[in-house]
Amino acid sequence: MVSTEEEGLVRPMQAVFPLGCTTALNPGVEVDSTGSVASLCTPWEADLYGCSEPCNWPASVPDSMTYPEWNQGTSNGEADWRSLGQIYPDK
Amino acid sequence: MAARVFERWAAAACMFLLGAVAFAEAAAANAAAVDGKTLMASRCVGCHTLDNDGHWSRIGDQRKTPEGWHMTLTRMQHNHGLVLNDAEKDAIIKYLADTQGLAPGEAAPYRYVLERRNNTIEQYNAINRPDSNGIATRCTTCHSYARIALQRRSEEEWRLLLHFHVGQFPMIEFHPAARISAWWEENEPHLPGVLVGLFPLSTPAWSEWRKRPSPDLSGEWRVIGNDPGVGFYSGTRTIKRVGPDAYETTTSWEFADGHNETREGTAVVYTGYEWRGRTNVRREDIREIYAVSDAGDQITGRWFLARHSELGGEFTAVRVRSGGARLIAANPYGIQVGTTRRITLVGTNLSGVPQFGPDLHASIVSRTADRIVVDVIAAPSAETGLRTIALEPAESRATLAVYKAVDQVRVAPEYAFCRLGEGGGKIPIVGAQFEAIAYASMPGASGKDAASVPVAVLPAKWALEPHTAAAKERDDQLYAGRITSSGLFVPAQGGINPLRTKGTPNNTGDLTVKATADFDGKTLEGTSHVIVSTGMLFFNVPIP
Repeated sequence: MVSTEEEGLVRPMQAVFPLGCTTALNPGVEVDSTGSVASLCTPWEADLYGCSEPCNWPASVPDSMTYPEWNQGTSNGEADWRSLGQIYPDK
Repeated sequence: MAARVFERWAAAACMFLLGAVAFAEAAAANAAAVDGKTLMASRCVGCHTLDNDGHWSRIGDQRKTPEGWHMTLTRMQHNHGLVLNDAEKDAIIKYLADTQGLAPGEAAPYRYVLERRNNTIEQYNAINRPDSNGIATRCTTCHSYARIALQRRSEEEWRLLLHFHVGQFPMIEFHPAARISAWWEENEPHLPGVLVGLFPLSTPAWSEWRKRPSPDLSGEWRVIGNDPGVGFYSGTRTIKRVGPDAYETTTSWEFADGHNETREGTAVVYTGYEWRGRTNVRREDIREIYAVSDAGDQITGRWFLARHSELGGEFTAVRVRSGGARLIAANPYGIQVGTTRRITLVGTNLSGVPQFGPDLHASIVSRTADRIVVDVIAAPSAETGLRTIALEPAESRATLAVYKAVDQVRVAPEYAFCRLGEGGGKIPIVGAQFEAIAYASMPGASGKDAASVPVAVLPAKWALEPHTAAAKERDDQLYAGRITSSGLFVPAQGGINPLRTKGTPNNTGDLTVKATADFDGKTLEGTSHVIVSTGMLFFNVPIP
């Protein structure tokens, strides 16, 4: 919380990204701002599409511009996540 | 599914249900059969131009690893309609890696990413000049630093790469780590100059290296390595040349506990030193990412499971030359003063009596030309330190750590990032193999400064505990995964867990991995840290 002297009011500070989002999306470092998991988006399956596109995780979750075929027919992340495949599967 | 791969891999290693598995792979033959340069003239020319000097637009101003060119061609196939079959793709990667690759010294600092050592904590600010921090806050928000550092481009190509990112990923400027600044205005004028300064297209190292002929690696090789969770192994590899830079391999390994593994495989050598092999171990497809030494007499790197790159081992092969004697390794590699230890010496053309230095006395138990087993007695008065074992006339690189007492156990890796997966879905879990390693203090190389030196890999009892108070509150240790008796951490299944009611419905976790080992009359504990993240491995890219 921050105060504005002019107005004598206390108002919430405007966050630059949604609270609860991960702040580090480096490969292999999908952890929250404390380096732990408490603030990861969960249930992750429900947040998949809502977070990956607006927050732009194109190196972690295939984006719809580059990989439009990736999630075709799986519009409900929570229900359909099991159908999602891997980019660069090594058989 | 992958959890079963995990189980089978661990079980097979423990139960020794192993044997020779024939493996046929067309890549080696394909690499020789199709000419990449000719193919490029017909396949790349639709979008790129080739001038009279043989310089390709865009392509000609970049240098990359074989994996880098593989990713480029895959993108051309996926995004731009390039049509190639696997043999054609292999051939173009081969041609480009050979003619526009990285010199060994350019790739060396970043081999960890090629070898899929994905728990490496990158120290990019320490190994590059201060203004590389621009990359730390830009590129490495999404990529490993090694992904950038394994490319060489002209300044214009670095600039175009930046433009490509904004075009292909237009939300990039609104990324949480980007929207706090004027991303484009700050980066476009500045970053290409930084990048070309760090990673220029033309270097003396590459100019020299590309003149060198590719080595002929055919022949007999002596092999040593470590398979974490199983242990030290040694053996032989026969390499047969089947085409230009194409090989077939037959490898036989024997572990310290006496069990054997034999496998056959294939390999292609890119850029004169980048060994990329395929084989089969315990019924799993294996990838080999090795580097050939400048002299062409040593091959070093890491092998791993194709489906689970986090599972794999260290590998070193030394060429067997007639008359050339080499002592490569000792296992175990430490001895406490006042004790006796049976030690195996591994090498080629070994003769003579091994010398361990003052106050260490060895009696030979058995010997062949490539292996000597000795019982070593270390007198209580023996001076501590790291000793090179002499075995005239062999050139020796084998060392033995003589120590008074083990003072700590460290668990490797010290931090492991694991991922949920499966749960009925298609994405594999990502786990981790831990090892407990005993360390002892002894004089450093200078003889003055004390150093903590590894002296043994220990069998240990493994346990999981919550790493933080919040993890304890959530009972992460009950949900996030389990650890086997050999130190293999197996993450839990993806998906919502209806049984989990505190904190999160997913099987995430923040755990301490604890190893308890009895060694040299002491009980010692060591710990590591494992994160189990919801971030599934949707991208299994060769260079993350």
